[in-house]
Amino acid sequence: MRSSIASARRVAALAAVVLAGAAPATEPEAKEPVSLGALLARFRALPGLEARFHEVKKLALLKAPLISEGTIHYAPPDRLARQTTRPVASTLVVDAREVRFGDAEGSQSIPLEGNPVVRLFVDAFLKVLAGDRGALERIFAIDLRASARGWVMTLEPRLAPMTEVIERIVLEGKGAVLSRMVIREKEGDETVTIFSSVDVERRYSAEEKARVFGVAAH
Amino acid sequence: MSDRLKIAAALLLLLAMGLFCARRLRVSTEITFFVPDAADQELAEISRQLLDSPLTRSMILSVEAPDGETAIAAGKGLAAALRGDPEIAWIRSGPGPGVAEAFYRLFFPHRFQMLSGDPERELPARLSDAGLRQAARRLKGHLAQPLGALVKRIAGDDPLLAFEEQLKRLEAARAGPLEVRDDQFITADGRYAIVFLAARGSPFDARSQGPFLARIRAAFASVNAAFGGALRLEQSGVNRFAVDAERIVRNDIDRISLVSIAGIVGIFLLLFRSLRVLLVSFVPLLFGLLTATTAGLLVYGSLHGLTLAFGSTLLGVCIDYPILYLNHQALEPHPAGPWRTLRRIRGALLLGALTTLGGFAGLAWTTFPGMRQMALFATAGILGALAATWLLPPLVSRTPAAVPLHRALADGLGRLLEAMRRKRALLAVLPAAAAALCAAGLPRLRWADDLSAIQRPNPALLAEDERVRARVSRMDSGRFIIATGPTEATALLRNDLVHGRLAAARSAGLVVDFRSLHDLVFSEELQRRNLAQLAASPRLFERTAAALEAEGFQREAFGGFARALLGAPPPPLALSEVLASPLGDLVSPFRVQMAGQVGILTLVRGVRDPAALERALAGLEGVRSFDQGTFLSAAYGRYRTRALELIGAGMIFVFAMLFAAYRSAKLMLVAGLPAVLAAATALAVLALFGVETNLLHVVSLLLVLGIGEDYAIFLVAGAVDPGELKASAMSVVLCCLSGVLSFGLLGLSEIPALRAIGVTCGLGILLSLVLAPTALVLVGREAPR
Repeated sequence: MRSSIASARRVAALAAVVLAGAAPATEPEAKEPVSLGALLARFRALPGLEARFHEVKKLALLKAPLISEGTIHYAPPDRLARQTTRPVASTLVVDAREVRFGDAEGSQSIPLEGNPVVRLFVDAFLKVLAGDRGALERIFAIDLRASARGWVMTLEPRLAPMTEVIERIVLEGKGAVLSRMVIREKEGDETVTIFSSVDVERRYSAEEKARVFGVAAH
Repeated sequence: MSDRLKIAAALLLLLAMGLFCARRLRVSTEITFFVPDAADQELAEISRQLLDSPLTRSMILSVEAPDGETAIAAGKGLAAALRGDPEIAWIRSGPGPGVAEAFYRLFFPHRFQMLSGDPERELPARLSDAGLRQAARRLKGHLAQPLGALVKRIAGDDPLLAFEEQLKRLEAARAGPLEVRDDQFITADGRYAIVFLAARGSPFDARSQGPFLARIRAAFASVNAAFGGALRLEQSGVNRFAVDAERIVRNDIDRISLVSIAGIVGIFLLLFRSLRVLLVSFVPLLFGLLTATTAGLLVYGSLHGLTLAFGSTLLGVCIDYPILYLNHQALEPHPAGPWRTLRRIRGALLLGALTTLGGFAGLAWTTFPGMRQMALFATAGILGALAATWLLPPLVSRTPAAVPLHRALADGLGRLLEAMRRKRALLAVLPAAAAALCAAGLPRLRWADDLSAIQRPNPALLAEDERVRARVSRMDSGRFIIATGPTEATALLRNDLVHGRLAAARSAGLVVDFRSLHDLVFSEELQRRNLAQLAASPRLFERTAAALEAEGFQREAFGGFARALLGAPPPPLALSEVLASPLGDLVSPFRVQMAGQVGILTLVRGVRDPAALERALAGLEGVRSFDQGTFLSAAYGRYRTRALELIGAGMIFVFAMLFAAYRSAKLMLVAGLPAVLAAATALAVLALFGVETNLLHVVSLLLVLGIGEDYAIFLVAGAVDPGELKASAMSVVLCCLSGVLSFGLLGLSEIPALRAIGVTCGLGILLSLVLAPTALVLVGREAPR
């Protein structure tokens, strides 16, 4: 009987230890005041960023969600690379001028000029990381609130044609660490991206920049 | 008709021609002046079209700035400052926000018509079950990407991603060294902002292009001032070369005319000491130039700058007639009055003019528009000057007696000639030396038939033009593949075939790259063949839907695709629709309209072996590989040979006229051979000095022959009488002086064509003077009949 009780306690203790790492703390953390200017200033100060991502895309076109995984890299002020490892290897690189994409079929580029729709989509993410408040406020109505885990930034498109496609983008994070992004489309489709292993002190050497932000067919 | 009435009528005619020329004179500098039009009619027409086409009307402005941001702002500022200029047909500093939307509206409805460039070979596999499954996987992969939201918008209507392939082709067609930032074309290094524009007028119309270029400079100056003078403008445009050439030609004309006239005035005042004689001597000149200009304008509507510059040298020919008359009237007047003096030399005048005309008339049989214009100009000018010489007797009825200097010179010349006649053996040294020079020099002749030998652009402008073009285009300049057809549909169909062959040639390494209209528009037939393949694919929607479902797609999301497949397809996309769209500027340089033919150009880069490329295109009807430089050089070479043949034929005609006039083979040779020898010697001397000769040197021989024959004819006419011989000799010396003055100045021109004419004629005329006395050796005391 004593051993049963002891065993039950050990399991409970183990469960408590395991759950403590996953479940929200029973006691909410105190909300720290957050301002848009200060947050964007922290993004502007980033030397670079690298993070793992896990994306779940729920589309009306598809019966089941599309799940992708990989790594994102950001080098200020305007270079972003998304290296997808699952389900199919591909690379997407964005800079101020174009979007380049490479996969098993080859590579292609889309100039951002003359493609305002693509430009808006690219800017949505890039301008946040660049901390470009002017550009962000031109494209979106911004709402920033403190949350129990840091901050929540909601971006609602102001400009067509983005207004016709995107209902809102919600970014969550703590400090300069972005942890989650939700893109909600007008037609109901939704993409949720979780970022992990976020390194906000990432510095890219010239060689790394050439490698990471280059596009080749996979 | 009384003398006064004749003079009044002549003055009225002169006035009328003067007014006509003042109102209608238009000077052009078209390079097409030098494009032959018969050696290869089709290529000549292509060349002509290319030389005045949307390609040549376009300009590139390059604004250099210390950094990219400044360059972008300056490029936009310059475009804004120029926008609205009446001469600008369109101006573009960036692609504009509407290009993608315009492309979508234009091409999306035709996506299935342009699915494949080789539908019979490619589509069966793509539309097989396996191919459709692969397309479904591809669509899913695209949707998984961050920009999948964009693909999703059209996925229901286009699960085969046909439109995406069109977009890829558009990107390939637009590919170049330029990038776009903030809707501004800019070089990759961010130093140069690029502005494209097209002028409304011909680039060769200096009257409109000169002020237009000045407005561009002014607009840039104001933009540059706003940026603190940190900018630098460089330009590329055919109009800049045309305006520059026109300026040089105009300067040459002004200089030659002014100095020639000043020289002639000086000589006349020195020898005749009469203002009246001086003014009267210009009457045939004025008549000659106005008659030539009027005839040229009536036939051609405008005159090329080179015709005018060449025409100004006609001063050297036309002045010969009044010189001969006035010398005879001053030194050896007929006792019965000036009309009788004129009558005495009438034969020599007419024969001299006719032989000159005979030479020039040969040019009229050529296929060079420029040469024909020059021939017409010269012929009309000589006829006008000759006719006006008949006004001289009434105008100078009381010619003052020759002044002592004039008479002393004439006497001296008379004595010299008489001395020469006495020592025939010594005089024979001159033609012998000339013949020796010919023997030494003529085998060394080197012909240069490329365009630069005739019209060399300003090197500074050329270097600037090449720098600017290198920032914008990677395609070779002046090299094209052209697919022609009686209709646009046929030309496009042939262009599809060219694309296929060139793609193979690129794979084989025969050409580094090419840019084809096929990347944007297929021929109507090819569009129909694509649709036919779709229609022939059994149960295409059902099988596509099955493939999509197998990849996890919802079948009902693809209703748009079903409707597109099952409904009536839109008519094939026509080139005219693309030309009328915002993409028109991108497309228009590929199309040229020729007489009864449409041509579609393909630009190529890095042709390593032109002959191999020709072979790769062999068998394609209506398709030609075209290298403008090679074509023009070959044409000039052919024409030079032809011109020499024509000169030979002209000489036969001239000798026939001389025989008809003299009724003596000996006199015919006496009057004709010195000029032929002078012309040949002039060419030989040029060769000995290492001058590369070209078409213009050959044409100049006509002038040398015409003028040289005049000298011999004048001397032969006076051979019978020592007094007349003195007057004729004095005339020939004065004619030579005025000729060398005119042509010698032309020899200093910056334009190779004018320099060639000037050097050949100046040298030839001098040699004609030296060799003319040999006529006297041969003629002895025989009087011409």
